[in-house]
Amino acid sequence: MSNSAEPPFQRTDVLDKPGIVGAKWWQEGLATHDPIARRQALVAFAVIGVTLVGVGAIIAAAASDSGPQTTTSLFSSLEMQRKYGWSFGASGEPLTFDGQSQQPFEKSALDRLVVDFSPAQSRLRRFSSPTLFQSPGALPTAVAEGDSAQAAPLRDALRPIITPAMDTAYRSGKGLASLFEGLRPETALVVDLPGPQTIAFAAGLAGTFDPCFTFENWPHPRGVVRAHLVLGAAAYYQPLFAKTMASRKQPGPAALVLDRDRLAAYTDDASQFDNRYAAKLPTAAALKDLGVKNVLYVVPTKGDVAELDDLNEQLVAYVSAGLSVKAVAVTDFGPAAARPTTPAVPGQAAGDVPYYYGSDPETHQNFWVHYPWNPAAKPTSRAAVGVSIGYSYTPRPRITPFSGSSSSSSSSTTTAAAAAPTGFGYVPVIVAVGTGAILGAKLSRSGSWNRASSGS
Amino acid sequence: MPHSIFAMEVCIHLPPQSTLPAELRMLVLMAPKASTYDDKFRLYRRAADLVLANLDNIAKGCWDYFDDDAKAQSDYKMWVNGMLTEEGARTQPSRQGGGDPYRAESAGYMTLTMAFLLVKGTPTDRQMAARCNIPQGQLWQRWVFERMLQGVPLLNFASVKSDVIYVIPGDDRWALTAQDLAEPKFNYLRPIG
Repeated sequence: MSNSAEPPFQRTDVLDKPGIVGAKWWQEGLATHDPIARRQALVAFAVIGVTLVGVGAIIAAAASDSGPQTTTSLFSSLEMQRKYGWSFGASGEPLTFDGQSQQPFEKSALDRLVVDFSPAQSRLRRFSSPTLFQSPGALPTAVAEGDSAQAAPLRDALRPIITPAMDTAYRSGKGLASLFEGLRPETALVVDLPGPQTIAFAAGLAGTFDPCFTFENWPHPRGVVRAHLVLGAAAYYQPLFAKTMASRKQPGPAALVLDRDRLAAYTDDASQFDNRYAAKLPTAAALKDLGVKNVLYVVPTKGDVAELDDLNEQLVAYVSAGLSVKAVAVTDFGPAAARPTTPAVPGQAAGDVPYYYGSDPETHQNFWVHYPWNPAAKPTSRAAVGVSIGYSYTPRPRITPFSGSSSSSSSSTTTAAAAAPTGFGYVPVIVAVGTGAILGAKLSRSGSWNRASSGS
Repeated sequence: MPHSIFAMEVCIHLPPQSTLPAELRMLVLMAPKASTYDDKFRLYRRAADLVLANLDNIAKGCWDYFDDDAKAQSDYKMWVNGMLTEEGARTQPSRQGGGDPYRAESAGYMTLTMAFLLVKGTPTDRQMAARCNIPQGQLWQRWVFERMLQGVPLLNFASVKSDVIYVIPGDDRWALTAQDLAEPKFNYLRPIG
């Protein structure tokens, strides 16, 4: 038994008629690998006597029977974490945090992340995912053999963080939001920045836009995506989000907030945990139902003015549906020259160091020259210099690893996710043949399958 | 190898222009003939997600879990026969195509049926047994169906010997009607409270 190329399930019946559509599959391997039947067969062979070659084969099979025969299968990383704990296969390994905040931190507040990081408007909640924010307090329902003990709640390992990049993102978010104050909610933002910065940028927006967080993974000590830093940033800005929740305008514009690291590349699934995922965005029809006419894609720098692979089909679909899609960079916003900078504090307006489009109060309103979505704007004569050409960006169809017609790419009525490549967001898991019991993550250092050769 | 069975069927009231039946049909028909565990997970995860998104529209339903080997095997055969004999399907269209679907009173009803023949005693079986441990008086409540649907993606298909999934109708014009559902053959579907 091994990771043979032959898939275990074979379809035995299929029906495609106007009245009914259906299919049935059968897993032959379960019957042929019945451990009891195999054991009985071995006894029978031994009794009747066989050739020397045959005996050797029997001994080999019996030896592998003395320990669990195993096979490796891919399972959804998130589902394994939900069942066996956030640190599945790496229980006890630490998380590392950059830029730990020294501010007082109330750990119990993490239990309210799901609430504080929900959109204020019920009409937007279907576009938001609580997945990441559920992780701090989640407890596993089972212990994998490869983990020495049940994982402690993630809550105990989390720390709030604040970094200079987050502070810049926060102020840029406030700068962008200031342009949309008082406008009709006809522009939706797609904020696609590295995890901690995307939280910070959303914090800057939160007085004007209603953030919809779309994080579909959990942190892991060896995670490809350092989702614990997203949570660390969320913990830092949580008081601000809670405070602005009640004051957000209804109906207000939506900001779809993505973690740009969700597609991070990696090579070694023996040592890393694939907690990546493809972004899920509202369909064009759903955005139009909200009254959205424009979509502004927020990227880190002027060198990043192109959508990530998993967004291509969706952003192209927006254009095809008649929505105006443009991009803007965080670095298009900055403080006026010769102004002192101090770290932003959650809950405190950054009015002392405002950020402007083109890093100049005189060019701030000229944002609307580049993005002609506000007919009431009064531009000034000074041109914004050094800004990105995101205003001329238009997504074009292209082939990506996420292109295709997989069933997982079919859109629901409100959201759509690109079809992920095979194995994306999945983790190799050791499964006992016959019982189907999950023994643990392949990357685990303490599983018995790593101490002795298996029969697989 | 003793078996257990988990099966459920939901009957969903379709709002005008619902894409749910088409999405579920596509899902079933595009599932690979030779499927990996990953394929299985994706199929049922997506199916469960689609139905969960329409949870409020579930009008009727039923679900079963039995860990008696003989009953599990005979019941599984019964669920499979439900597909093979096309028992619940209409024999002719219920409405014509065209027209303004927004002016229609309803797009009718659909059913989704999923059944799994499990290896008894495996973690997946035990997990399903625990999930299905519902007080008698609450068996047909909406939250229970939500709980069951949430459990479907948690199945470990290494412990599933066979599975069947079917969607009625196969064409929107053949959608079930309220009159269809009033027939005795649909009595096994309980109103959801």
